[in-house]
Amino acid sequence: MKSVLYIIRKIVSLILTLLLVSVIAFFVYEIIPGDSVTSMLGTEYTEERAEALREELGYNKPIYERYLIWLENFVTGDMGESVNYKMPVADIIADKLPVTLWLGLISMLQIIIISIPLGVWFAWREHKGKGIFIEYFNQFVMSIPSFFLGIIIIYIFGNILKLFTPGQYVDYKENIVGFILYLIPATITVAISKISMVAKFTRNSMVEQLQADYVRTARSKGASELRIFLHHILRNGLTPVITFLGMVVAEVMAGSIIVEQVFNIPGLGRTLVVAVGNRDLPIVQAIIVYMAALVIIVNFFVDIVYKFIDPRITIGMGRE
Amino acid sequence: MLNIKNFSMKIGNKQIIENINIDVNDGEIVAIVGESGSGKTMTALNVVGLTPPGTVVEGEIMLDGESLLERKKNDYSVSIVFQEPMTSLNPLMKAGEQIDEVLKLHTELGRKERYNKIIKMLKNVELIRAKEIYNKYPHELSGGMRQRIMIAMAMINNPKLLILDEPTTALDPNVQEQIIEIIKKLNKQEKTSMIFISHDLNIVKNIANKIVVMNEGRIVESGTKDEVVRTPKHEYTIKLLNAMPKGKKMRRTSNDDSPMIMISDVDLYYYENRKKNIYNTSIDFNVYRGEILGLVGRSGAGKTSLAKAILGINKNYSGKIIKNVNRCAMVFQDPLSSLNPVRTIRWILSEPLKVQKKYTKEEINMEIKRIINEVGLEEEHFDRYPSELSGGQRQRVCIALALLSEAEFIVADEPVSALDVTVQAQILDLLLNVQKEYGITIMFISHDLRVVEKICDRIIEI
Amino acid sequence: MNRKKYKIGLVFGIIITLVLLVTVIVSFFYLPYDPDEMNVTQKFQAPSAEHWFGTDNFGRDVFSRTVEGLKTTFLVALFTVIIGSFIGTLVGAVTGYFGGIIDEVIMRINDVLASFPSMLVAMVMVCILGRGPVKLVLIMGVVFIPSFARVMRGEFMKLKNRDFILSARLIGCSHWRIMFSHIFPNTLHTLLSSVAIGFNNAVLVEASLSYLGIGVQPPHASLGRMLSEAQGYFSYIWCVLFPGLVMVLMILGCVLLSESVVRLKRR
Repeated sequence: MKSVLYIIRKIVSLILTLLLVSVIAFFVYEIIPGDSVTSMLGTEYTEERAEALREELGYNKPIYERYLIWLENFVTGDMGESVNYKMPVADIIADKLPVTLWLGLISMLQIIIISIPLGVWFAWREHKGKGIFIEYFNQFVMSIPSFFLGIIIIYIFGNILKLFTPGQYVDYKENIVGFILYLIPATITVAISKISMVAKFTRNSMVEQLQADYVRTARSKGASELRIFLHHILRNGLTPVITFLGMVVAEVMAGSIIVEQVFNIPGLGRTLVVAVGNRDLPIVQAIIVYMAALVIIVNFFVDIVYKFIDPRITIGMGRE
Repeated sequence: MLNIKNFSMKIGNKQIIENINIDVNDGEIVAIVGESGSGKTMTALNVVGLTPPGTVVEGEIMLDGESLLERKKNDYSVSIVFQEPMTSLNPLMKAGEQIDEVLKLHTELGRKERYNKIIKMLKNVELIRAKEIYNKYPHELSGGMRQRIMIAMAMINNPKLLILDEPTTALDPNVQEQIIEIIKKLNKQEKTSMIFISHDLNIVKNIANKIVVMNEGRIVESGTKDEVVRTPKHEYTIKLLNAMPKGKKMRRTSNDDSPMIMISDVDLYYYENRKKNIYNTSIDFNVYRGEILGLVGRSGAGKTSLAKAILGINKNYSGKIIKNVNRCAMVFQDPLSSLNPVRTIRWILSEPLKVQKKYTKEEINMEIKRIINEVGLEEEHFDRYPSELSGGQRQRVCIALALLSEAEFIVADEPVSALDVTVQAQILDLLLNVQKEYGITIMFISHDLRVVEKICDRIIEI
Repeated sequence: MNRKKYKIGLVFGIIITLVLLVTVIVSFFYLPYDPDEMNVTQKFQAPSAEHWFGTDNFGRDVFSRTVEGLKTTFLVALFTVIIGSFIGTLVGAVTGYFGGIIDEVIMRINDVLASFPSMLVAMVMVCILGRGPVKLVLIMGVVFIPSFARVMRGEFMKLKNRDFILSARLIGCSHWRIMFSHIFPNTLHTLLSSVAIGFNNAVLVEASLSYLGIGVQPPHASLGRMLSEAQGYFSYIWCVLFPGLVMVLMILGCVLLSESVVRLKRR
């Protein structure tokens, strides 16, 4: 019963947050200096035409009404038309979204598979009292901007070792295997610094548990160090990592925008960059809302999963 | 049965325990008493083999003729219950499973047998709905219940020796008594030898056969309970026994003048999910000028919340509080958090005078010098930070702060319960002196009835 | 043992940051070459005593351009952090200390913004407001407000109920005095470490935006743009390597500083 309440509460909060995002996205569109009618008409601009177009687009209606119309259109898939491509935004996004989703998904998989065991291993070493300079190396890796890393990867593995051909993008609609193979170096680029981040977080979270009183209790029971680590520290230490992974999703998204540029991958990120350059607002608006929704929904599921792993999460906070 | 012989211990270069001898016989309860830093807990950790890294030991600890210091792995013939029941259990494991772990590690019993044994044990520590509790997580249990789980865990495999390290300190007084009774019962029933570690001779009086008094890593006195309590020889023991304020005060009985503070029909509540939860209702009493009023009640009754409501820093109450007083002050339980950690004592003490904006710099300096001597501190303390003072000294600063802000009414919220017993007496004496000299009204909050009875004119229970 | 390890980190952090800082200061007065001066006869020279970091496709001195880019990035990040931390602290202090409905509303918006990578938000704002050095600094400053506000709000919320603050209220201190004379000094180490983290994020965001061509615009040199230009002629690896490494050093210095400050403070 309590779980159901919790989930309902979370869903309400999810919807509210999504609405808030949509409001922000809508108003962003409203406050642009110089209105888009002018830029849509370009050289064909005349007062009458502009007025006619405003009427046609419904710009003369009160703002909340326009918001509702916009929201309804947006949800039903009508996201307006790109100023630059003169194409429906929905079509452009439908074409690019799978690319970015694949990129993000493969990166996330790498992050989860590699970073958690790595972090656990760091913590285990700490548990055994070994000084680690790996930590400094980790810090160093985290400090490399992804586009620099991407260029280095292209240089070493593409230009020198010739493991792949930079710039030879394979469309996912033609050859899905080739497409994924092409994505691999890019996903590694996105993943590496996040792997360091998550590994570090995992380590810290576990190390915090090492000093906990219940570990002392377990030790007084005569449990072996390995058992203490596996049965007590591991689970307590890993639960916060799940929440952290939820936040990493947003970072991966940002990372993919840059990496698509570095590796010449025509996904949402590149489209966004080009659109920002051209101030093609309908596209920017749609992509941002998409990305926001994705981040928020992922974190919603993270919260739900967390609830089932950690029995301490209840609906409200107790007394101070 | 347990012999600690010529035992010393160092961590790095610091001598923690110096040449102690303790014997525990079969079925006996031996209490080790001392203040913080006396080495009592470290002694216990050595017996269970949980010493911190960097420990160097000398001497012997023998259990039934076998050396405990040379043992490779704890076979759980010695078990331990720690002070903090809140954190000593794994938050993600069910209570029963945590007890089960002991049996898994040290016995060959099957699942069913283990379960039955645990349920029996849980009933034995007076957890009535044992089967339900088996499946509860620690956060769903109260402090007293968790401590019973800890005891059940420690007793489940019939240890030869059970060590209890301040098992009741973190608990409410009435729960303390229940736990003590359970420990006594188990001692009789199972004939388990026990070492009971405490800072409080009064608790120990009720349970121990023998008492060992430790101070600064050494044993200053040991003997049977009656010897130590009735005819203490060492002055430190006497100090511990007499750790009560000496100052005798005149009891005020007449309530003829009008009350300073009137509290009528006050309900205390808090919000949970925007829902009002009332946890104490219809509180009704007056505070009269010049008296020391004791405020007692179980934990969770809202003693502190009520005090804060009176002072105007807690708005979560309904009812009427009428104050006929200009300035109030509060002396808190935890002296460390009651002083701004990044400011010097001089800054902290000048603040009430600066805020009044009617003193020059010299006047402020003169005044804080006068007051700091009054509360028994020196001028050399001016340039220190709170963390560089002892608990007692910090509490003196708090009292000085109250005096400097010209408070007519002071709430002293468990002002001594975080302090060592010998320091407690000094601080209580200071409070009494200050009260007498300045005619300040004090509301004294405590869970310790003995202290309250000793220093208060009237006692109110909420 | 661990303490010692973090001290090493702190020392390295200070050294790296100081060296870069001194370089930036010197660059105001002296650079070996004009960073924008082209010299076609000198193009794609490998690093040498004359050109420490070699030259690029127009024969420009990579060292001078790198230092110039470092300067730009440094200044942008500096102003970003100043704007972000100043306003963020104010917002965090007021919302955290007073709480209530304003706090709920501001923090709700804050949470949505902060759940986004700062780069995305910056991109949207560039799209709305357009480009230019002053605009970029303003945009980034605003983008960084939520993260500072969040941290400072947490600190103020945590501290406002501590006993020593209650005692300050009883003494009769004004809210303003409590906020900035009593609470604020207690948040300094947290603020310091968030400033370091913020600085390092600002460096990253500026470099990324410039790499994508929507950050610092020519004629201002920028590390990010140097990399995106150099991507066209890969084999002259020094054109990529040196600006990249300087960027790494800059970020590493900040990370080491913030990390060590937090750890050492915690004890």
